[in-house]
Amino acid sequence: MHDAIDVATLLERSRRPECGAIAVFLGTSRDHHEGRKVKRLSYEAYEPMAAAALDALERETRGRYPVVSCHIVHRLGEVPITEVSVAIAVAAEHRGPAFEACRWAMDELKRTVPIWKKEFYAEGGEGWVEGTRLGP
Amino acid sequence: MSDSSTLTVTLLLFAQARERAGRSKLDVELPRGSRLSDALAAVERLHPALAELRPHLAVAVDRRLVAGDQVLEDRVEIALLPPVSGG
Repeated sequence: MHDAIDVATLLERSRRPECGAIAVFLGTSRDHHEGRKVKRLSYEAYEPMAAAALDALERETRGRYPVVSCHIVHRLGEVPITEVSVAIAVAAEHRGPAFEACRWAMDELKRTVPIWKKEFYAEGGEGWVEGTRLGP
Repeated sequence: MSDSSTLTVTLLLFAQARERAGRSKLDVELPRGSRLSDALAAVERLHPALAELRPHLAVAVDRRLVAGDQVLEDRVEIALLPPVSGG
């Protein structure tokens, strides 16, 4: 989870003869947050639990939407500005469910996976991004 | 090692919790029959800066989120999980 995300491989894994659509979401490191300039970003995870939560999220996405595959990858450690921190690829017969499932999976990821983002500011200082409390 | 009257649990601390305690992991020895709240109280006695975070933390025991105040088994892994912000 600490290496750069290989988006091309993720897309290759998503190609299926029966699918007419692959929806992809890429989250990228942004250079500002709430008016402050961000010079770098770093992610930390409870890795075994995060990996299990991402697997469960892939399965749940496939269960909730008429899609054929859902692959999710999250990068940890420092992610340089403009690079990809998270990638979701959803393949489906048709584009509607692919778009919907991709969006739903990303929203769920933000509230159910034990990963934390820390920002380091250009003017000095650092802070954990305000998040969502995990619920059992 | 724990003897028959005690148990040992491992606390894992992440993000703000890790920084406030200045460590990512510690073992705590407790009397047998102790509950999750006893383990959390013990870690807060060692690291009082964690107390302020407590209302915001979720807790996992052996990688499962828990809501109640369960009796602890020997050698369980208790994770203190601040609000998450992946993506």
